[in-house]
Amino acid sequence: MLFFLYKRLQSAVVVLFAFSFVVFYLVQLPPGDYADAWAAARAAAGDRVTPDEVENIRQTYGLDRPFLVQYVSWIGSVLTGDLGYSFEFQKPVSHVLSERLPLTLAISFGALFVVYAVGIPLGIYSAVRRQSVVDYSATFIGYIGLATPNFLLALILVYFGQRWFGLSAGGVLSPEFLGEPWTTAKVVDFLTHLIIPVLVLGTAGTAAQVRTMRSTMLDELNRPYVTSARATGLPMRRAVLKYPTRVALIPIVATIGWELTSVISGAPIVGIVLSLPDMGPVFLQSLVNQDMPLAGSILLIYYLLVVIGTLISDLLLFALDPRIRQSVESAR
Amino acid sequence: MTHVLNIKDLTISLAGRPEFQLVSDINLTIARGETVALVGESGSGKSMTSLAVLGLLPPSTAIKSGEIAFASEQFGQLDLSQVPARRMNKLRGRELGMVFQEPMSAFSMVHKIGEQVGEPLTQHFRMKKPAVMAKAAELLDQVGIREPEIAVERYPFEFSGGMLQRAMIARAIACSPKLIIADEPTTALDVTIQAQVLRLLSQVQERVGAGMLFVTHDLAVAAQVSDRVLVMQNGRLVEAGTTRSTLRNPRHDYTKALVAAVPHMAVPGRVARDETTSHDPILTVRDVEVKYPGASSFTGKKAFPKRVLSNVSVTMQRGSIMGLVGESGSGKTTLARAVLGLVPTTKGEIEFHPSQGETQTITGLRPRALKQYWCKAQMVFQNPYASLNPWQTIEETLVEPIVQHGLARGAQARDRARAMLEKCEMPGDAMGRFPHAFSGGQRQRIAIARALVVAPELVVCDEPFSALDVSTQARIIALLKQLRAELDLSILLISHDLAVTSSLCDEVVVMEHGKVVEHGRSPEIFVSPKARYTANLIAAVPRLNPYETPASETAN
Repeated sequence: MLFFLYKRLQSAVVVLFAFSFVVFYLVQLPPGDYADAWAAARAAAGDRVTPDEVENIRQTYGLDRPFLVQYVSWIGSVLTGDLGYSFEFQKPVSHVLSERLPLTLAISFGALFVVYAVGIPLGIYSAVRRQSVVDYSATFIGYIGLATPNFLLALILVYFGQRWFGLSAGGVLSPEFLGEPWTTAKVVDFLTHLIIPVLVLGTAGTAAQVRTMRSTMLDELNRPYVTSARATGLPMRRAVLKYPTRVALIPIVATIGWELTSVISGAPIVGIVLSLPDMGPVFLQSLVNQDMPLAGSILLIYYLLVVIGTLISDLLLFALDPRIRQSVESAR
Repeated sequence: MTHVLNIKDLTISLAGRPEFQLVSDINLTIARGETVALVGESGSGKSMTSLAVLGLLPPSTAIKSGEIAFASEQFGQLDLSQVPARRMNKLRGRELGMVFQEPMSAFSMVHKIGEQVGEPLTQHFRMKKPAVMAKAAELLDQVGIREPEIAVERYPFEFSGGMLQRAMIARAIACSPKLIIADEPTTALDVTIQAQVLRLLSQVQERVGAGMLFVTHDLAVAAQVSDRVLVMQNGRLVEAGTTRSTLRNPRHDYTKALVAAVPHMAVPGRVARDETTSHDPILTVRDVEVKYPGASSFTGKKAFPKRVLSNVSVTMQRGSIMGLVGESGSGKTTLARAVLGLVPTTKGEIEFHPSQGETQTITGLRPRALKQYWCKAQMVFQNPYASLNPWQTIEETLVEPIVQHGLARGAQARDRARAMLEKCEMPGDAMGRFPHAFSGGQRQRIAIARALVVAPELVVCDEPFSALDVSTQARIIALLKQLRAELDLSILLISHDLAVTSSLCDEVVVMEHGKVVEHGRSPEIFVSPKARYTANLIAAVPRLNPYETPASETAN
């Protein structure tokens, strides 16, 4: 078990390095660099920019050095815990992110929680009470959720949220709480603002999990071991929750890593549409301006989250399925 | 004598459609300590009847009328057809113990054996986990599972089929039930294990003093365990009586047919087949060894390789039917797969001698050459429910190999497929339908047609009858015999059923632990087996008249 964990962490570190290189390369790939982007922005604002000024910027940030040298110096400082200095915000990257990362995490994991807390029980219920009203409704709403793009869903929910529930559109705090100390009222206000982004991010995933859970459950419910469990005197409900559910959870758990990926990659768009002060808008900006330290750090954080998600999924699978446990153990 | 179970005029129909009767007017009594066998083909309603007793009928069916009287310890006299769900849960597992057909699928693979065997104790006596595990180990010990304390912590996929069936029996008797219902408990097992399980069932039944309802399609098995026999056909009882008299003097035509369909072990003095079968081999297997490597891992280490076949040498004559017998795990399937080039051999040679052309060495053949070889050597698989693609029509299934091997195309290929289907005694209009429209026997005919449609010389049949009823089995055997004569086939038949083998094969190879222990002509080898292993196998075969030849004397 510990050995398995160790192996997994080992390979995660290797992939993390490879990934950092690809990230760095990709951000550099478009023609020009931050200095050009800066000059273009100034020129667009009507300022006059001399080539000397541009060259100055380029030297200050070390953008004139060869690609590999830049990469090594960046990754070297990342390893020492220094994420670098954001050109765009004129602040250390860690400052920019520390204001925004918690919100991103709250929204992503909130969405993930909704996906499983709603998806799994609804899937079980839909399978056991097949062709019931709940089953049909779940299917119907699920298809809508799957088919609607997130940004559109965000706009729709903002509209109805405000119309029906008076939820304010965008942001994470109502104006009156801005700059106030954290009181219960402020926390409640904060949480109600999270409802829409979490729903937007979680709907597609929930729909997918309901489908998966329902279909594997339907397969498992007809297996002889369910009848044979009932023959020992287990009531229907307990027999279903104890035996087939555990088997049906296996494909769900196996894909937690992917689900986290899709939630995280969906998050920036939702953040932008809802103008949330999370990492989404910053991420977009940093890519547009080729603000390498910031863009690279954000991508690395996203990747780290995916690695953690995959690890969690592996550990859960381990606990759930003895066959996997055994194959891992025999592989030692 | 007081009855534990007394079924009166039980009728089961489709839910909401009482005119569709699945089981009609069943009457059945079981006394304490008595075993009653319910015999019939699949679809005769025998399993339905047993599930009705447990209150576990599928939701698409319902009890239409009748009474299932049960003398309950907790609640006195009950009619199980009327008992509410809550009370039924108190009876199942405690007073009604059930043993299911396929132990491999009747256990959850992801829960510990101990937890599952102890489930009735958790449920009925509210025992805590450590106590349940301890009691489960005790139960496993009673059914003859070694090292029970370790076994309870293991998972079903680590057990063999026979061990799992023992564990299932342990679960059924966990609360000392008043009635044990066993639904085809040995159908998925091979002969020697079957004999052990049957003996075990009778022992535990005697120990807990329960009545037993034993459902089976195999009359010989019923003869072994039961006091009385009830024969079902199309949802009705057609004959009932003591086991001895019913099997000796069956009155109803259906029972007579069933008795006749039971394959008999070869008897001395049977007409020997013409000895002129010349020495014209079609297949030579020389010193073949197959090793499976242990599971390799990403760390590059390997577990111990497992030797499945060692030094196997066999010669098969053209036009003959050769039987390959042995318990599961004896390597007979591996040998058959090696003959078809499906398993890489680690030593030795396998040669195929076609009627025209040169001898071919199968071992080490490249994929392209193997494909050509498969036009001459084909396989029929064990389970016709799994071996036919449910999404392909019969026509697609049959035409595919013809086209694949470049034998014909379009209408010509279709004609060829239809002709073969008809030769296998299936109507031509079956071509447009899907496998689910057919019964097990019909599916096996289709599977045979698929194998023969490319006109092979050698056909390997891997337990082709084991998923079929006795009477269906008899018809498929007849078909195979007929096809062999018509198409000049050589058949390699894998079977754990010695009775079938003895009646069908010219020669028999007996295997144990990956080695050939005996090889001889069919009648003789069963009459005077030389190897002790063969003698044990023969002794384990259930017989219709166990009174005259006690089957179990030499078995242990």
